[in-house]
Amino acid sequence: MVFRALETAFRGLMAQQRAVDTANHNIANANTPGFARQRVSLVPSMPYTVPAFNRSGLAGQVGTGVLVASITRVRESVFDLQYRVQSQALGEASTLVDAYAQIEAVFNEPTEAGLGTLLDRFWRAWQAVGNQPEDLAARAALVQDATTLATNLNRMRRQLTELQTDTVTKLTLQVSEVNSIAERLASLNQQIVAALATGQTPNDLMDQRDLLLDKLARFTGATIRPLPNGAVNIYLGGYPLVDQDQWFPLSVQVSGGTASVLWQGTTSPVALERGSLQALLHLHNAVLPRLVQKLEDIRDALAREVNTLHMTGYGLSDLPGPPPGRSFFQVTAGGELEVEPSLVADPQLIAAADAPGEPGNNAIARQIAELRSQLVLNSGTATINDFYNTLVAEVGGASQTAQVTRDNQRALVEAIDRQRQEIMAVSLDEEMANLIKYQQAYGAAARAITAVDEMLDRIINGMGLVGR
Amino acid sequence: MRVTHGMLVDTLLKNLSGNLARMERVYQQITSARRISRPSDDPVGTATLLRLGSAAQEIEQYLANVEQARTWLDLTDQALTTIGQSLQRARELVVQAANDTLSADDRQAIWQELTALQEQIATTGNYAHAGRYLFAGSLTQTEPFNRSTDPPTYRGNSDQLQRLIDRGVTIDINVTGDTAIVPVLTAIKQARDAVAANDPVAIRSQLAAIDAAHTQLLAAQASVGARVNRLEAQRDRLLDAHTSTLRLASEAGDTDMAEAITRFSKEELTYRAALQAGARAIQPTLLDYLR
Repeated sequence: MVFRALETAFRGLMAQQRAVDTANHNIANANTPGFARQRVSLVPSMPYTVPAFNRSGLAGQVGTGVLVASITRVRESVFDLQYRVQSQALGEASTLVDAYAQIEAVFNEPTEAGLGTLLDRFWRAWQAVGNQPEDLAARAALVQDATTLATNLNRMRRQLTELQTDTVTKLTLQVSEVNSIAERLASLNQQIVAALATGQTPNDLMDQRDLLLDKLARFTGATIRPLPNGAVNIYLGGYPLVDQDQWFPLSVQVSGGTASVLWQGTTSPVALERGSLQALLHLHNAVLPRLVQKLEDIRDALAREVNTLHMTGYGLSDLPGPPPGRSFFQVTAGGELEVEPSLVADPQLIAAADAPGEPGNNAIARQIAELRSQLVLNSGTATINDFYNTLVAEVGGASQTAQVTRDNQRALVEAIDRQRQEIMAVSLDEEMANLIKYQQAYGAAARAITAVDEMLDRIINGMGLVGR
Repeated sequence: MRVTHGMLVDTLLKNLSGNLARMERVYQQITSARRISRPSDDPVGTATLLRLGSAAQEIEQYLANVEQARTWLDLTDQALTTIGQSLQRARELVVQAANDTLSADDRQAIWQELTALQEQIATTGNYAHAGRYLFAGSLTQTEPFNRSTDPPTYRGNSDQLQRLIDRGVTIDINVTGDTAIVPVLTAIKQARDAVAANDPVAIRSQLAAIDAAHTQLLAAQASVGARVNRLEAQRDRLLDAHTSTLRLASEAGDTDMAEAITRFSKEELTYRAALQAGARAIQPTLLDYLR
């Protein structure tokens, strides 16, 4: 009976020690991302029934101490699920916000250096030529203003195209990150299943896996399905990205100006649905090409309308006869707008007049200046300036929408994360209190062992020595 | 509700960065004096601002056009006045020459003065502004009156020089030499011929031609005056439009300083309070009290 008491006290010692270990582990991981605090669940061990012929008045079952039933994570998977669903939308919105910030920087409005002001200066320069058609200085200034306008239009178009190229780079980086996450998830699945099969609870591995799942949610609209054996499968559009310990890599393909994410080694596109990858595809395939197209519409309208009028006019040095039919702008094979080089070299050739040999004639210059108020774009409903202003407002509106969505989504994700943290985060106060609780119990168990030891000493060394 | 130190720190950091972001935005509005720094700050406001800015530019150009047109018309008016005075003097001389009592020598003297007047009128007709001849029609680089012939022949054309003074509105800024000055020169030449012929009757008959030329000259001057009036009215209208456009643009795009500075002070106060409260909230743990 005394030896049993030793065992009981020893079990107490061991159990409290595990509890102290766990508290230490929690404290050590207080700032580890994705760590859920762990709890030791203690249960009394099987009681001992004292054998007897009859159930007499003797006490029945005797306690045999404590056992550590399990060490579990304190975590609510419902919140994890919500967190990931909302993270998908957050990832998408954040990517759009970043991209639109860059697009807005390309437009650089409202400033004195924006295309709107440059268009105004261009039209004004034509009026200045109209005021002094004989004046070479006014003509040279017009060439300057037209060149500045063309250069900036080209710059904007080029920068938007570069942003499009950048999205492919980002897409490639993010896809390789998704692949790496999938690989690690497959490997964690394998370790977790193996550990669970031997009856262990791989808490820390599961935390790592949950953290990876949180990260993955930003990139795609993946669905997560837990399996009874402890593994989780991840599906994209019904096809597995991770199936237990298997994973299937993604790849990026750009063909004909359209980017797509494919299952590696196949031609089947991945149904991304949400997340930053989806946002990048949207930017690359829809948003940026549309903006480039709009700038090209402005470029083409400028070249077309100004040239049509300019070709009917005469420069200062042109001889009588049919108009020389000179263009003012030309669009190069690379899609760049530039002022006809002959006009840059000799501004006299700018056709301000509608008749030859009349230096004071400004009919064409006036008509070109009045193009500013002509409805030449959007199938005859918008002036070039209106069209551009609408484009800027459109970019601003889309950017604002993305910002609002991002802010709302972030608030939601933060609120869910807070709920999650309320449950799983390590509280140092709590762990300190527990540490003291278990430390004291450990001390008491140790004292119990000393008591039993003294009892044994009494029996072994002190008994049967009467009268010695 | 279970709150941990980590959560406290997270909340503190999140709120501090939120405070700073709001402060930065107000700060930017104050230092740039502009309410909108990116289209997404206010997409509709941005479009309004761009449209108003463009309208202001357009009006400024029309104002510049009006000023230039005004200069041209003023110079034309001065030249026509000078010619009118010469014509007036010529008429007096012709009336004097028509006097039967005058001798041939007297008429010779008058003829010489008339010749000088004709020369002077042709010179005035060749006035130029910044290298451009006022009375040559659109042939502004050609001296309109060839003074080597008698009477000087007109080498300009009868085209009007037009300037844009508003959207779709043009104004003619010139008087061509052939309508206003050629009749004057012709009338004086004929009078000179009659004076040279020493024929009082013929001289007297030239008065009607001189008066007709004078009437045409006055008509041209009147039209110049009317156009100057039109330009002045247009300039007033453009100035009004410019002022109201700038005011609207300022309302759409400028920072309301009083409001922005108040907001900045509020954000600053919040930020300081958050720092102070945060510094105290995240400090203590149970550890501080265990021994």
